[in-house]
Amino acid sequence: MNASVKPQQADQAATPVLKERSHAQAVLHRLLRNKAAVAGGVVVILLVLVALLAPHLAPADPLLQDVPGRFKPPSAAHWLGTDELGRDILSRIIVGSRISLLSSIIAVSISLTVGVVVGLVAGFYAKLDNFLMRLIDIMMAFPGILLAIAIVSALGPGQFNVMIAVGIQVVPTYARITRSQVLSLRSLDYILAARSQGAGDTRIIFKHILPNCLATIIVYTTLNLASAILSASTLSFLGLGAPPPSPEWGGMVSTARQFFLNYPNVAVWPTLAIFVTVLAFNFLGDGLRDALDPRLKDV
Amino acid sequence: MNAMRRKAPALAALLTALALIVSACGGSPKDGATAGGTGGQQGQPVKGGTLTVARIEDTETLDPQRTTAVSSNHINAMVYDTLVVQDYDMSLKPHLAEKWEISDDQKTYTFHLKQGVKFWSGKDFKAADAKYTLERWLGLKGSPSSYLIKPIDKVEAKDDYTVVVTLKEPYGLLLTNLASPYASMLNSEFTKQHDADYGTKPETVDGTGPFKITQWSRNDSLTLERNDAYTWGPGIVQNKGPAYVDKIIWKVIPEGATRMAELETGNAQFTADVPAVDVARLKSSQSVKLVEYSDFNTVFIGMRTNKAPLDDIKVRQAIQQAINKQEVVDGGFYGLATEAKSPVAPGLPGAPADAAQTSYKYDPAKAGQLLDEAGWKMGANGIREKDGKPLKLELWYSKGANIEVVIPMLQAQLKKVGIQIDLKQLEWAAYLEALRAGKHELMYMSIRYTTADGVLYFYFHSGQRPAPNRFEYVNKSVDDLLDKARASSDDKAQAKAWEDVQAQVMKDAFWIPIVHEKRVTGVAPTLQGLKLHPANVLYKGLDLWLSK
Repeated sequence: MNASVKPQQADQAATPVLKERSHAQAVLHRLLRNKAAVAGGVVVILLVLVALLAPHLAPADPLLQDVPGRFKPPSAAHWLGTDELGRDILSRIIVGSRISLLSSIIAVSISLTVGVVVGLVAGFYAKLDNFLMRLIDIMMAFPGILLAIAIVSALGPGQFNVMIAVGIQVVPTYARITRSQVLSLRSLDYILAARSQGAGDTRIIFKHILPNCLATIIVYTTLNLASAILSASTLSFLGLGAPPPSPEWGGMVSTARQFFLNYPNVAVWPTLAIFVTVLAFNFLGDGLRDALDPRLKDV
Repeated sequence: MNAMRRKAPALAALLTALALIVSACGGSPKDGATAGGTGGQQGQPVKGGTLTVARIEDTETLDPQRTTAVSSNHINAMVYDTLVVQDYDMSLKPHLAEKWEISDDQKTYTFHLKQGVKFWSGKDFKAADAKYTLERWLGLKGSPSSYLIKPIDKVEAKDDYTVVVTLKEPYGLLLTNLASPYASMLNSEFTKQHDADYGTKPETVDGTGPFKITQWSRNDSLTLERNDAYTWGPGIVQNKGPAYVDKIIWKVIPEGATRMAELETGNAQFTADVPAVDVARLKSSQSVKLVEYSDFNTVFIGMRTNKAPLDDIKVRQAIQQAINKQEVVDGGFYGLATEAKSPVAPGLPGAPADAAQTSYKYDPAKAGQLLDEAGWKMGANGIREKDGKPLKLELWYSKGANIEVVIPMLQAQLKKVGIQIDLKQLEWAAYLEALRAGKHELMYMSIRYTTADGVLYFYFHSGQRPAPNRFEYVNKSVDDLLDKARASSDDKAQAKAWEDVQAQVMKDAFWIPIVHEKRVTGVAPTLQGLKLHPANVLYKGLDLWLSK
């Protein structure tokens, strides 16, 4: 699966630097040729910039209410119109991008850390493998969103608990991906060579095995960021996320749905924001996968 | 496999976006328009059909003595009967009690019961059942409504069809309260047998009403089926029974847009809860008629007076003056409400003649000043602080009309004076349960009532703690006034006592009357025979029928 990724051999410190760079260049080259991935990447970069600069970019205070001026269609003063309390929708979406991106990054960090460690341990230590993987099987027996809802219900509503729930939901997938990588690498010659030179388990796992799993994990992480945004928005839509007046996108759609028949404008923009963000991450993730592992491209 | 897998999240995003739009579009009136072709048709009632009612919240319990929730009252009015009924003009009329006599000292009420009334189980309704019902109610631990008949000393069954109620002191509200759904007549044997879980599921309910409960899945739907043996409807309805419709399905649809969509597409024929935001659009609708009616109600915020910082009257007064009620009326309720100045709405005996005198005016500057005096100084982030602690309060609420606008609006109003409000929304049954436990600080709710006693005694008498007096409010003079009003046979003195109670309550500043709502119901053109009852909306449902 990752034959194209050269096993890094620590005991050959003099591995030509040129070769490394050419691999990275090849990846970049392939990535840039993929128009969808480039578009996705550009949107993602823009989104990150928007999130970072949100307080400076937002034309108005996202919480400022102006009830007489509510449900206004897009205009020069309010580019995307105003919501049910007369708040500027554009400003809410801009500030809300922070919540959405941050939620998904934290959620993915949780699943990444826990999942990869479990996967490494399970793959490397055959004795623990069965036990850990059965635990993971139990988690996988629940449909993802149901598990997330159950977790938030237990922890109580709130954006941080949503992050935890979304994070836990994806742990099994990371664990399985990592484990399968470790299993295929564990018996390769370079690992044997490292061990024969006296390298300990920790060194082998983190220096020799983990770096060679990274390509797959990175691709999966990019794709997962998209689904994490979607899951977090879903939970907010169900009223389990950040409480009002937080401009969380899912929460905005949830509230706007009440007025959809009368003022569809209010619901359209946050829905589009979620849609575009998820799509961008997916395009980028697909592109990265193709670029890092060309053999999969035409599958 | 791989290709499908990686496309899945993008597809899911698209589908979610579409689903949101499509589900919201479900309410287009195209289906309803055909149903509306026969709209407005009157004439001979037709038997048959299923009436679907869409509502915000589910029934809490079908034990009428254990709940005061309006959502339970609606069902109980159809499932049970009462000795006395309140007419559409609120005057009292006989029902299961054909007639009654009141002794000269106003302390003995003798009720003569109607004969031939049967429970669904087949048992005859007799004086023993009435005696059991009243005694159970009076002594039921945790009953939020037993205060309504507290002056009762004893109940005797003189013979099978005569009940004598003796009072400790004169109590002018007895008949009114015996007409409330809480006074629904129970089957003595059946109720004893199922006492622990009476009213929690269809199998543990027995009544004499025109409808039987046959199915109930919590927070989803409740089905009532016609009681074919019913022929003892009260004088205030035209059809004495059996009812015309085969079934009434009460569907819980908390979201306003979805609820109205059900009505506009013809899936439901009635809702008592039309979101105010939809009223302007629906006025020209072919598929839904809007019918206004009035009841007595107050939307309020209650404060837990024993919890810091709410134990400080200055903080409470500040909160009172930080609320801009006019903005709530115009913005939150789209004008379908009036500003509330007292707990009891104008028009009811006991409502203050000049409520403006005791009510708090919107004055954020004064509110800020009061908070300064109480030691809460404005912090850097716009939230006040005292001893390094921010002025943060939790506001609890459940589902309700216009809540998605009103709650953030109140939150923003309080933020303006430097109070941070954290919102906590709970599902209705969980909300009532949590309030009973008393962990709240601020609570948002609305109450409907038919007497001043029904809101004043209900909320403010110290004997009503922990619920419905969820404010831990104890005031001896208020207790005395409330007791005095009850015992009074002089209408003027009674009204005066109620006014004094409200003056004191407003002075103590823990209860903010916000608005009195105007009610708008949505009715499908096929639903005929509708006459809205101020206390129970569809009431017994006997006159309702569906045109084809």
